[in-house]
Amino acid sequence: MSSAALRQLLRRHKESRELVALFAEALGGAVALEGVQSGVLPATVGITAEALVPLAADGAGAAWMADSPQATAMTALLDHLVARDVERKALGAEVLNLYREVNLIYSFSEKLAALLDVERVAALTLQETRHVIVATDGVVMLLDDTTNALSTVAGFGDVLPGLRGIQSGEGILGTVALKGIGEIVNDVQADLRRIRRDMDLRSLIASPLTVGERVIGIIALASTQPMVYSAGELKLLSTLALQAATAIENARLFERTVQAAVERERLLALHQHAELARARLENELELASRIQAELFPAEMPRLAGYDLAARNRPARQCGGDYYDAVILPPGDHGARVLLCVADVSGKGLPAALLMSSMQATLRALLGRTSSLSALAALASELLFASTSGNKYVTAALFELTPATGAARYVSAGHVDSLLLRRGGEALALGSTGTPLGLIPGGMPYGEGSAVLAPGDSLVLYSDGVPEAQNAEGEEFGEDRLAEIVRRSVGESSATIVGRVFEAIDMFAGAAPQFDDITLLVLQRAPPNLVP
Amino acid sequence: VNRQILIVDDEAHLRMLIHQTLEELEDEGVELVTATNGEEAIEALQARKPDLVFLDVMMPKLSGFDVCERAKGSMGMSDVYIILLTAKGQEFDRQRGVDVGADMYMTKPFDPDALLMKARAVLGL
Repeated sequence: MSSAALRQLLRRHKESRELVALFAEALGGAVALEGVQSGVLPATVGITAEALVPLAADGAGAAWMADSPQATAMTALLDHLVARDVERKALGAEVLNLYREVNLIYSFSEKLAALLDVERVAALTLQETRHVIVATDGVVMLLDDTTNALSTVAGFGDVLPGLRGIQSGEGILGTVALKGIGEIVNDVQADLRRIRRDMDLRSLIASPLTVGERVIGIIALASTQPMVYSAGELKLLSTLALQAATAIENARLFERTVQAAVERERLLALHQHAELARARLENELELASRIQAELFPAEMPRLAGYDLAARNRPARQCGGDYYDAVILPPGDHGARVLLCVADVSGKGLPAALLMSSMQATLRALLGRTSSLSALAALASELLFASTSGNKYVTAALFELTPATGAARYVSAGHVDSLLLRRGGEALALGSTGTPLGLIPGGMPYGEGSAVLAPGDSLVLYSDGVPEAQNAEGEEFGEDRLAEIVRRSVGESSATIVGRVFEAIDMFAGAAPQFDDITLLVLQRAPPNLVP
Repeated sequence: VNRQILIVDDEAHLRMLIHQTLEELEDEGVELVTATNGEEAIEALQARKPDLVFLDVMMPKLSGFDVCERAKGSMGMSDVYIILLTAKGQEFDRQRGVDVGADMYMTKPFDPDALLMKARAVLGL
């Protein structure tokens, strides 16, 4: 019995004081109590301080009694009273501690309910846990389902939060995550599972974060000073961990829901945007298609002794091919006609506009130039000036005098034209210059000439005809074209045009049409049919 | 004259918990007195005129509101600091608390540290 404990007991506990007085009186001895007013213990009156002995074991003053056998009995009573008081206090402290924990759990769940963010839930959990478990370090780590690695979402202290790349099953914390069982390690340095030897931690307490049977992470507290963590503390930590895990799972679910909603909004906006762009493009293509349709001659001019037909089929809604047949002012040998098949670079509206420009240029220049080659050079220059650099037109231009069958031609970078003699001989009439509008300056164009004899056929076309592909990537080619025309003796030009298109479709099969296809067929009637 | 704190609650474990929470103040000369119902509280108020009262609201017969009203009213103890204790989750009539002259209210379960801090502040310790 210490004098301090005795002093405290006698000062605070009225009943104890009264009991001591009663006992002293019964024993017939005098007891002096420190700080107690006279009258409480009447037996002390008249006793001098020198006659008293201290009753506490350490000899310090709190209660004194005249040295006597009764003093021994009094000491025994005081011993008992102090022991009981100490017991009562210990119990009270323990109960209060339990109450503190209950209160913590209560207020923790209230605070958690307001949080929908994983990091904040983790931080709050550590903050609350620190109130009841002494630690220098703490950490909440979450388990990645795919990599099986633990990663820190909240922490305090110098050591624990710095841990990186712990795999489930690895080290002490990894073991807690793998087994889903909390642990107290009061001597970390001696634990064989310790993976970081340089880590300056002495004691550690850790609990898994579980949702149902599933471990989603761990919470750990540790001390750089030796500590003795208790089973009671682990129980409390587990209780908090359980609440935290549920809150984290809820927060994740909420985050996922929000993300999904945001993503849905984004996709919807994208879709609307694409829909708008598509509608605009469709309008544009339709417009281009209308422009283009108006550029083709409504019907081909009729030439006595000749049969002329042409057809165009664009690859997309709007293509870049063009054909024309224009009656020119009469020359030395009577009427003349200009035949043209052209291929404009690009697709869609820009190509349609370029084609329109090409047609306007060509028609404006007709009859104003001395020769076909001069016409081509001037058209090229005008197109170059009026368009951007990467736009150009390849064209086959034929000027025919029907009466004689004499033809002059310019091919501005265009594919060969086919002259098929009555006897079946095929002549390729090749390029005589660069595409129109490709390069500046008056590049001279070569001019070719040929005579279309009775029974001969002239076939102008765009590269879409020989380059039409089948599913194997083979090209239709010029030979197939020539063969079809050759075999169609006696048929009208329109029929021949139709046959070529059919043959191309047969050849291509399911393969999509990549390029525009344009074909113009001019047949001179055989000699016996000439009127 | 010693300063005194009166603890009034009809539940024994709460009296004990509040007593235990405040026990360290005894070393600083504060006397802790307990009462188990409204009538006892009135008697203790009369006899001791404590500096601070922790007063449970939900008590049979004489409620905490009644005790507070009488203390601050007819007993003229406007300088006694009265803290009403209400159970969390239970409806608490704040306006009634204000009307009967209570100085503040705390909810149960209480935070021991907050309760002790408040007592120290009221007593100027």
